[in-house]
Amino acid sequence: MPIIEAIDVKKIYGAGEAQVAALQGVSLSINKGEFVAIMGPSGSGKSTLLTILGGIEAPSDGRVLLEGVDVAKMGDDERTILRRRRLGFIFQAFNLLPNLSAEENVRLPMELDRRPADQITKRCEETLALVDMTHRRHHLPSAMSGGEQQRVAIARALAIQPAVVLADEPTGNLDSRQSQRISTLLQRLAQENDQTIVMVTHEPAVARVASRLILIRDGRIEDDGPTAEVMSRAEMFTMVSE
Amino acid sequence: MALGKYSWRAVRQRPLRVVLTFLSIVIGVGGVVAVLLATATTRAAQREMLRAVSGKADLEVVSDSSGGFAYQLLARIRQTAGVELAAPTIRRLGTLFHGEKKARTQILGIDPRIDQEIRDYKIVTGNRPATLNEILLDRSFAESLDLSVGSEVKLLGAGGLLDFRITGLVDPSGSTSLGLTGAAYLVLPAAQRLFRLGNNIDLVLVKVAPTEDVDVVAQRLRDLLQGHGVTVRRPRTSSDMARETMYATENGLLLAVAFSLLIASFLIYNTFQMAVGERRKQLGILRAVGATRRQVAGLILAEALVLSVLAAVVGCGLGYWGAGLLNGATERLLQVELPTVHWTPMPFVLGCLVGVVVAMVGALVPARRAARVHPMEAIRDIDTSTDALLIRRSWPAALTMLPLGAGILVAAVYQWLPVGGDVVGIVLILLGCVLMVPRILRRATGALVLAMAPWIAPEAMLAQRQLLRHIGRSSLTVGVLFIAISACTGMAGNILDNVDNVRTWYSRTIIGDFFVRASLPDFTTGLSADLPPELGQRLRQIPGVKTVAPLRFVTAQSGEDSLLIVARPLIDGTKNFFDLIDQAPGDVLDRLRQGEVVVGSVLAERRKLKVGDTLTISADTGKLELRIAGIANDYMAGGLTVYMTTEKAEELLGAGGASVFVITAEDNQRAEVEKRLAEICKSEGLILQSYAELVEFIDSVIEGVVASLWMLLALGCIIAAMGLVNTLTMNILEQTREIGMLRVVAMTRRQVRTMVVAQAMQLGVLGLVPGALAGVFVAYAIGQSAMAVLGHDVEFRARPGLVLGCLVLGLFIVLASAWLPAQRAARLKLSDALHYE
Ligand SMILES: Nc1ncnc2c1ncn2[C@@H]1O[C@H](COP(=O)(O)OP(=O)(O)OP(=O)(O)O)[C@@H](O)[C@H]1O
Ligand SMILES: [Mg+2]
Repeated sequence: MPIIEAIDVKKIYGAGEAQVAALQGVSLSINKGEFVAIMGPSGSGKSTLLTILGGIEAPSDGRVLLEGVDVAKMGDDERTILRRRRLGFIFQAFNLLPNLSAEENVRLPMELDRRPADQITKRCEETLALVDMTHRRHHLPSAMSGGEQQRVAIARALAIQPAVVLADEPTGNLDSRQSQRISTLLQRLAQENDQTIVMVTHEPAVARVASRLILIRDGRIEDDGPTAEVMSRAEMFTMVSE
Repeated sequence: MALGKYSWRAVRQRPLRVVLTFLSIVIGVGGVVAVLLATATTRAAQREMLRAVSGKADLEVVSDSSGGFAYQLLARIRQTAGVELAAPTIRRLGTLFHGEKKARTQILGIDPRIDQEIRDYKIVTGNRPATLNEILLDRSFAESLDLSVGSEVKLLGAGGLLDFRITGLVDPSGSTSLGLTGAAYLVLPAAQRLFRLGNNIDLVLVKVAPTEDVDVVAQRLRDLLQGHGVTVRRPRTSSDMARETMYATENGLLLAVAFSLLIASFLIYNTFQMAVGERRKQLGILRAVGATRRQVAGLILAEALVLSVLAAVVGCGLGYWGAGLLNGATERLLQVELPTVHWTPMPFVLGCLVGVVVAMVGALVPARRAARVHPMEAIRDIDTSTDALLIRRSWPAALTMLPLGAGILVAAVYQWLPVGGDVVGIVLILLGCVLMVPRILRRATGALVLAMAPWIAPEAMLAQRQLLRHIGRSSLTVGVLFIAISACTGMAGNILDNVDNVRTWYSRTIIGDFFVRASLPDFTTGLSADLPPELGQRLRQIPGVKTVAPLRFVTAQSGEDSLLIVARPLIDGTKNFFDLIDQAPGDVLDRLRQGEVVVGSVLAERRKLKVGDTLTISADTGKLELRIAGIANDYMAGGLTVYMTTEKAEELLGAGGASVFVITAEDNQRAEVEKRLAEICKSEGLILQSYAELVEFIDSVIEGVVASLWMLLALGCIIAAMGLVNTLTMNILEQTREIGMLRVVAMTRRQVRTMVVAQAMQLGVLGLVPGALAGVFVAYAIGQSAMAVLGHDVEFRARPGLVLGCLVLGLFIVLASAWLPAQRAARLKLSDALHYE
């Protein structure tokens, strides 16, 4: 059974003249342990797809199944619990609570889930070390660079050991060395822990680490398959360089 | 022009923020207007109470000789600045004949057109006298003689026997009933004819304009009338005591006004700070793209001006409407009649001024700050430097304001300052407390988080962090709550103390259910002449009568003051004859039996008398030295009273017998006793007064005052609650993105709600608990400063019930106020929240 399944998902924003069809019928299915990269031009609907897959937004049409359950049929609390135990989110921008330190930001989802304190501390230390942020753990987001904030956000998403990580340009603010570090980290999670990773990115170098690549254009899936194949097909149309 | 467009866009983009800002001014201005109107109502209710106790006249001009003085002086009195009303009076004794019956009576020559404005009586049947042979008659007096409207009577005066027809019956009301009992009211020329006075009068009662100082006007009249053989003085019945009792309440009302202004200012300033502060980033961008500081400041000021002027107008309407509504509700709910108040423009002007000025300041401060910082810096998220600055500045301010306020308060208690000084002191102290909040906010909320931790640790922590993010704003909100509750508990406590004082006096001093008096009162003192001694025996034999106490009134002189000596038997083991100050009743009664006296508190204060001192008086029998056994709160004869035992009065003054019989009846036989008493009084030509009537009236007036107080309190609660809803909603609005993110990452709706409520609770506990304690202090402080004026404590009672009640109510209001914003936060649409800028 696929862990994530989208069936003919459509998303229309606004109404009348101002209507935008962000997704115009997307179907895909992702298996446990897969590392999927999503690429596409700006405004093509990548972020929208990610929020719908995570059950943050409801699709205008179509269905999303998470671990075989229709997200639309869940109650709000059920969805929240699902998000906090099974999904790890990394957003394109604005990831951290500005009034909490790095460490507190990482601990928060686990605390809200009422996990035992020693377990929280342990996970927090582990994941901050993973993203190399242990030394800044007591700093507020306003005292961190964009890339550092992004890394703390990644630590927070991973701390709960989610079944699925949904990451919207997690390396957007990072230099190439850190990008590399994060992408190999995600790769390891998929390979060793059997966690599922869905990641939006603009960087071919980062996408290359993924096992599968989905190309989106104008709200539709243009190509889907093993990363290397999709890349080589895309290069023929010079799409990725856009 | 381009910036004007930007403003309009900003309004359209965040309509809720604009609405909330608008509402804060509406609430603030409306609150100020309503409180000012309500205090006017309360003040009017008190004035009624004062009048009920002491009569309406502020001054009287009396003739030094028995022939009276020229009527022409009246015109000059009326022309004196500060005199609102001057009523001429002739006051003589005469005899009334009706068929076989005859009775001594007090005869009042009056100007019927204006007399009821200055003397307290109601015409219960019939009309005012209009011609020379028409009279009004006291109702119980008329009944004792079997007279009614239309009856023909004859009056005998120094000028002969004249015929009159009764056109109406009157009931004296309030304490003047003591002085007006058994009187006949004639038109002035008729009285002049009856006593062959030519065009002379005996007395002019003067009402002073409310804006004028009575003593100043008195001095003016003295200067004017020098050499005309008259004396200008405060009337006997115009008791300083009652007037001064009201002083404390007046102070409470001043406090209410000060508090409403403070709360309104805090509220408006707070929301404007928020509204403009939230746009800091945008203003930074505006600056970055080329707007000058002046342009940014101008933009914000223009917005604030338009918004606040519109809102102030709406607020005035709301305040007026709200005050009227509350008034009506209070009247219906508590079954009291509140006086109608003529409205003046003052509340509205003051309300608008506060609204507009505070809004401008509240907008300009963050706008200037935003305009000052480097554009790039403004775009950064948190503005922590200003919080640090706030703490650095507020702490020393608090440390100067607290001792300053305390100093002023002490000065006020020692009467070195004009009235209202204590209010200034109290307000400064409370402001000082509020200024301490920024510095202690972190630790105090930290402690609360610890207290909440066992149940809602992460939510409480998040709530605290949000509060700490804007220390200024959180402190102001805490300040609003602090001041609101301290005002409520303080005022309530103080006014209840005052009312209790009056009530206590009534229950202790008027110990009888019925008074029986002769129909001949002495008009200068409100005294009645002797009653036949065997009457006491007859009264005692009426079944159902518990006690009959003969009271004797005698006037005496002590220095400048003329005193009322009340002689009474100490019977029945009743302990509470007096409302004693700081003394054990038993001890005082023992010393009374040994021939010492109890004096009224006003007399004691005026003459600086203490227990154990000697008071010298001159009576008809010569000079007397009286040792003081106790000092009592007393409202009779302006507190210039001396109480002694009947035996002592007989021995010293030769005054035996009784002026009044005070009768108590068994509870279940009052009606029968009253019937029997009425029969006896009728056959003897005596006047029966039921204590219940008098006290019922006083009680109803006191109830009016208390009702007005509750009205004010309700108003305070409503304003505070609305302000709180507003502030919290605004706060939540600002957290939209964070809440959205929290919802995505991990928070259930319930947890979001908990977090918002935890925020409110932290603000609530921080503001309300110390505020309630401060309220106790406020009541105490007002009491202390009142003491200086009143010559005795407005006895301070710790009212744990009241304080606790206010606290619980306050917390409830906080919780209820949090509900709306909590709900809003919980229902936030995730996708919208994440896109919120
Ligand atoms: N709340 C919204 N209301 C209206 N239109 C929206 C909304 N959110 C997204 N869109 C539109 O939907 C389309 C897809 O947006 P989306 O954010 O998914 O793009 P994206 O592929 O993530 O782009 P980028 O690479 O720039 O992040 C865009 O045209 C965008 O303008
Ligand atoms: Mg995107």
